[in-house]
Amino acid sequence: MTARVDSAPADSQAEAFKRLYPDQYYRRFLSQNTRPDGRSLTQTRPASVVLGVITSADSSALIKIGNTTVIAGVKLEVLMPKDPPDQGCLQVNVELTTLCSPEMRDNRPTEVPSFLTQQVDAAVRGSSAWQPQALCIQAGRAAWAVYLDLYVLCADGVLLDACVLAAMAALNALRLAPVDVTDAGNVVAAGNDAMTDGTSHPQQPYALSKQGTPLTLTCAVIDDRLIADPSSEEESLAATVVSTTVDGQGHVMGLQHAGGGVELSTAHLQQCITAAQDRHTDLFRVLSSAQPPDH
Amino acid sequence: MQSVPFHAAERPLELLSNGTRLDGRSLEEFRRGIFLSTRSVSQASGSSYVEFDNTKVIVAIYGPREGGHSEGLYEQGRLQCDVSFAAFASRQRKQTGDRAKMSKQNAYEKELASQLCTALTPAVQLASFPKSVVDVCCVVLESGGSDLAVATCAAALALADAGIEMLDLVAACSVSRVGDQLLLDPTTDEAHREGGNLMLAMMPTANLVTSIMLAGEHTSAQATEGYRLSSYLLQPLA
Repeated sequence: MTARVDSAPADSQAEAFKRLYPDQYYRRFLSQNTRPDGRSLTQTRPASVVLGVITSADSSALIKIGNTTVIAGVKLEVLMPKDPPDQGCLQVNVELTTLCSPEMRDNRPTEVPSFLTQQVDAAVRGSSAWQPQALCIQAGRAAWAVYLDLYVLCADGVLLDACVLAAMAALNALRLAPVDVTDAGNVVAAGNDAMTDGTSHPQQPYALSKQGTPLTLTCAVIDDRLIADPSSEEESLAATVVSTTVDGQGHVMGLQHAGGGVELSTAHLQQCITAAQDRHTDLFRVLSSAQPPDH
Repeated sequence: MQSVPFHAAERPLELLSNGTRLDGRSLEEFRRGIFLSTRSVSQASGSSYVEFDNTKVIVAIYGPREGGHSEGLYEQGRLQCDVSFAAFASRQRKQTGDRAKMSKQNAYEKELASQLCTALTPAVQLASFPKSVVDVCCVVLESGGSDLAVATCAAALALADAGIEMLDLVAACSVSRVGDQLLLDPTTDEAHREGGNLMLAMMPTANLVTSIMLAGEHTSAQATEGYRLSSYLLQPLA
């Protein structure tokens, strides 16, 4: 008697095929102009922004793009500005937590966090909204140091887009408390009495200006086709990944073309920029509709 | 960049007024804003997010995976725990520049990881994944007090979500001794003024203790009372 192997259900067959031949599996979807998660090639995933999730931070934001989750928190400290004497400073740090993806648990150092840190930092500082003078409390004596820490909690593609969005959300939600500088040089919360130093500081917590919020869209190129907002699977299959950062006026503020010896055609480049401008409108709407909680 | 922390308000000096705590709880009451959820990290085998008012912890489970040779050979499976704090989790920002302060913070995180491992291991059927490792990755997003206890509850939930065979869930809580009072489930402000602390982790259905840790000075009566209080009150929590 011959043993008869029951044919596996269609679901698990597809699952096995996906594991064994991920590129073929994906290309079959691509040939039908669709993607395994049901999106069209240029369709992006929904994004969400929640503000004020961490009460120990001076401002915070939890953002999601599809499954990709990033939490951003700002801590304010006080420093003595030296050079130039009327500017505060900003320190950005991006970390991939050990829990964000299966690759991270080996604790192998990768260059990804420093790459993201550098890119987010460039996006924030490059924007016209970034005015280090606004962080000055009293020239030569005290200024705010803004520590912006970003943690990737779930990595499913487009980490840069998520980090930039989280950074913008947290910085937009940041309110600087009115403070006084005492004669001894200490910074204390402002009382209602007249300023000791004679300068006019706002008595209400004030926000940093936020024109021209830069936001990023990442596209992947697979088989010479442009795929917007790729998941981590799609990123790993892609020949190259292009991240375009644009501001509110549609100006390109950064373009990152990573990986592969693949040439990016001018047509694709133009397509990336147009897609990033469209995505900016979407993300900006999400960002603006996020309400800070009342404390 | 040399900067000093700025705090808009000092920590409260008095923790109790008329027998109630600052957040309106009685001495033997858990925080009210308890939120538990699973499937928070799509990439992981199992995950959870747990909130006890201001204490917010996210845990992801990966594996079981093959145990590396460098980690030695074990017949049974092993849990490997990792705890880290977000830089903005506490009142004072976690140091990233100062090496001495960084190593102190790392030591604290390692200690919590080993305590988490101790509390979870008895509940896990290690024989069900021989010679393999299950990674328990825990990030404290906001440290609002009783972090380890909350992390233990979250990790047990995530292990269950990952389908790891367990004898029972693990629930944990802390009790702080402040003066001669015992405060259940302390916040950071309360823990800041504590003279001693007791953390108990147990399997509630089996009624077995998986870990008990007592630090600081207690009279024996206070220790027993703390134990009674935590074990008794853990039941409804689980």
